[in-house]
Amino acid sequence: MVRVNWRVSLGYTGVVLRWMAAALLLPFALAVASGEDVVAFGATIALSLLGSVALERYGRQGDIDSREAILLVSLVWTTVGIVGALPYVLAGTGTVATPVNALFESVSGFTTTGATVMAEVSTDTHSRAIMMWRQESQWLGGMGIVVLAVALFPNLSVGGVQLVEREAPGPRMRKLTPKLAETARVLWKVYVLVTATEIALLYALHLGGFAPDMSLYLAVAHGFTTMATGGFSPAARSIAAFSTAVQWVIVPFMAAAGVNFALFSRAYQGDLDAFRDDPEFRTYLGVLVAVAVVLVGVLFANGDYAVGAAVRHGVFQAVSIVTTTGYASVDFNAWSETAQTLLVLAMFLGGSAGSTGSAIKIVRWLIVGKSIVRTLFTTAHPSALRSIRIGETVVKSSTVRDVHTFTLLYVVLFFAGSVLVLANGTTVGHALTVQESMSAAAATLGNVGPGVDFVGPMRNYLHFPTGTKLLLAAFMILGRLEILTILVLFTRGFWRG
Amino acid sequence: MRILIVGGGEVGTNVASGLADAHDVVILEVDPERAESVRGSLDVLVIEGDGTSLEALEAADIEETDIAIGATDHDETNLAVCGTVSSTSDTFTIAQVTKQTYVRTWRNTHGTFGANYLVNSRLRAAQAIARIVDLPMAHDLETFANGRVQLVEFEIGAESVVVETPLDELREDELVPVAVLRDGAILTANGVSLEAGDRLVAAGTERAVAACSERITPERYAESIDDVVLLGGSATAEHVARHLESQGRSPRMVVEDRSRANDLRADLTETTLLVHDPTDPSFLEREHVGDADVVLVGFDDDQRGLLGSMLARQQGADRTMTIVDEPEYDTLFEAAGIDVAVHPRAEAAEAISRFTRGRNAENVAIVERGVAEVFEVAVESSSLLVDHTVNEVEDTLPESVVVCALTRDGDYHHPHPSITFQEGDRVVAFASADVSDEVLSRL
Repeated sequence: MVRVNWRVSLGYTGVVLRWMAAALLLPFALAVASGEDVVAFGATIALSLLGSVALERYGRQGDIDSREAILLVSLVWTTVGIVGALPYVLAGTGTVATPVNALFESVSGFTTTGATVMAEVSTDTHSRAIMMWRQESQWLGGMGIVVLAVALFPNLSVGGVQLVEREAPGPRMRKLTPKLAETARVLWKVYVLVTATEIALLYALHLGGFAPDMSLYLAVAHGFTTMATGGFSPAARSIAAFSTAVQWVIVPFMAAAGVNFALFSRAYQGDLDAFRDDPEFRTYLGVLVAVAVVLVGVLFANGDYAVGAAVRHGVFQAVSIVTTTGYASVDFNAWSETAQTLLVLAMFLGGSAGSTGSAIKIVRWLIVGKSIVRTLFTTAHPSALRSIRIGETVVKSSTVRDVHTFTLLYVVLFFAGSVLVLANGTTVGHALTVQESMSAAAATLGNVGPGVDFVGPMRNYLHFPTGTKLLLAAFMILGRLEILTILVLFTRGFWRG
Repeated sequence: MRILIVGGGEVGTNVASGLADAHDVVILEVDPERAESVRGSLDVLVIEGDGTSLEALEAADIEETDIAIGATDHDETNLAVCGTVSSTSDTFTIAQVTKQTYVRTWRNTHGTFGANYLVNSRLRAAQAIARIVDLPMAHDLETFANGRVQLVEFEIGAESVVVETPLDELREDELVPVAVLRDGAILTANGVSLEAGDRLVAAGTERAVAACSERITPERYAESIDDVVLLGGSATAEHVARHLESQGRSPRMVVEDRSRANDLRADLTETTLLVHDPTDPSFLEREHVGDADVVLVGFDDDQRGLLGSMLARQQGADRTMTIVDEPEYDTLFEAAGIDVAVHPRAEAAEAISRFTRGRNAENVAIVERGVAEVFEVAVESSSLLVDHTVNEVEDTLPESVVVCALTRDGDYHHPHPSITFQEGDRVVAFASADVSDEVLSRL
């Protein structure tokens, strides 16, 4: 007997799918304007509406308990990944037109990973609509599809807390207001506002003559993927294609995308100490600065760049990788092994809880670090009773346990993935190195995007065999939904009594 | 409105679930596990903290809060909440208490404890019992329009003569048969016939409700309720006895503890007190408890309550009403054949909800644990109702909405389909829970 009310999950998946159709209107409008891929987007909209009606008819309305929530979130992300792949297949241009590649690209989009299988990233090969859909999918996935659905569809509020907790990044998702729908709306409002600010600034640079290539289209495209810590760019050379000024403007927005959005909302309401008082924010800033300083030092010591360029590229890559964005201001494949290894290690850090950044996340590292210190202390003083605190609040021991489990699982998955990629890599026609396979696993599990060498920032994941692509796509979803949500579906206990 | 509820227990969550749709509700709860479970079940903001501490109240934004409610299981905590809140802000404060002494002190000293309103859960339960003691088939009765309109919920038994009678035939000059509740569904359409096991909701004047009760009550029940026996001497039972006395009755009350009986005797002058174990079957037989018109069971713990109720049933009592602490046991009591189970905490929660919404010019009663709501609205000059007939209004509203009654210049008027609403009327309307907010906002 299956004890999960799966038809309820199915029904609400249909509801979310209806909003997908609405999201597809933006690329559809672009397609109509340019006359390219109109059918691809029109058909996808029709199919998602059809699918939504079918799911809603077959599913049921009802109470969402924690297991229905887990199933619903997993279903939503898989469904959205599949539906999002349709335009690539239907458009039929370039390397993303095959089903597996399209799925990889779509999942990489929604999970804000930014790893691509497009051989030619360019609006010459692909239509502007397709390239914008790629960007928009990251923006939607950044703040969360379910969070958006809760904001727009208040009926989901009942039991919605579990839903949002399943999707929201990090262990600290808390309501900001009495009503969940209101909290979801506040978060999306902040998200929209910061994104709009970035778009406006980028375009202002263009109008001011500081960014000749940054058209309105590209400003919007990059606004979408910066705030989502996504990393897709319609430009083949990522941010290296743009001027120094553009690179410097993007840095603070990438950093902001890694901050807990609740802090923005509190600051907006007048609580200006919100940032200063938040221990995770302080640690996050410290981590960004530390990684950037070391990287700049390494680059400068190697004599690759002059001071100005070393600072710019060091800071840009440090912020881009730590926040799991995955933009590149330069092809760091050319960097020294030391610098590249540093980047791969930085892929495990991640943004703050409640941000759009992925990977392990700062608050978890904070808890892990403090619990190591505690264990060292209690080794010396066995009868000492010490609790782990973040700021003033005591972290519950169950939370500490969950954090340990998550971190361990993350590392185990990373190693397992690296081995599988390496083993399956012989078919590539290029002997993968350990560092390449490790960076591919870390970059997908952490939703970063580019790795090093074979999967470097100016290259792509196209040449991996199908099995590896599917594995890495699964890694992206595992990383975005923080592993446990997906893994628990494969346990017997989830489905039974 | 922003409403702070201290205590995420029975009363707190009950109040919260009634208010969360239309208001911003924050719950302060000390126990982390309970906080977590409330967080998962209600769309409210749950904050862990002690509601009697300033820090916790500030964390809950007490300055922005319109109403603060002390809803824990401890009287003193609830009063301390009111005291603390009122010393720091001008938030309206409500406390749930169980000791009548506190209510008396509060009333005689014009708002000691910093409380603006006190609700005594035991007294509420006693009132709920006293209201329906005369109506053998009634489960619940609420009053509207200053008591001129009564809304009552009857159980239709298999022996009742109205089984198979169309709902509309129960309509009288001063009575509207509002709805039938059957297996969790609400039936309001014309042409519905009553079946055994239905719950009938009807609204009308006190006299008409009594007449309706007489019609649906099977003959084996006594014509008037004279012989009332109370088993147990809990504080709620004491309140019930006092209400019965004020209705002119002389109940019998069985109390085990002699000193408790002595205390009660000082207070209850018309009640015959018997000092004996109320769960001793041979004693109950000796006292002919089985012949009583109503047996009320009021112990301090539910196990004895269940035992006492089953014994009274077995002795042949026509009707047993039991005060039950834990609403979760409801079905158990029902299975044991108890006619009415009254929950003091649920009554307190409803009283607090009604009062809170009443401050917002809504007088709302909850039917059958939230499947439907009944509310009273005043018709203002700008209202959409003015100059429209009942028929027209009902046609524009969802199907489950029924106009139950209206009062004009303080007099009851039957809501005939052709009657036209005027400014100053008070309208009592019934709506299923899923549409009630929409209907309330439109009226």
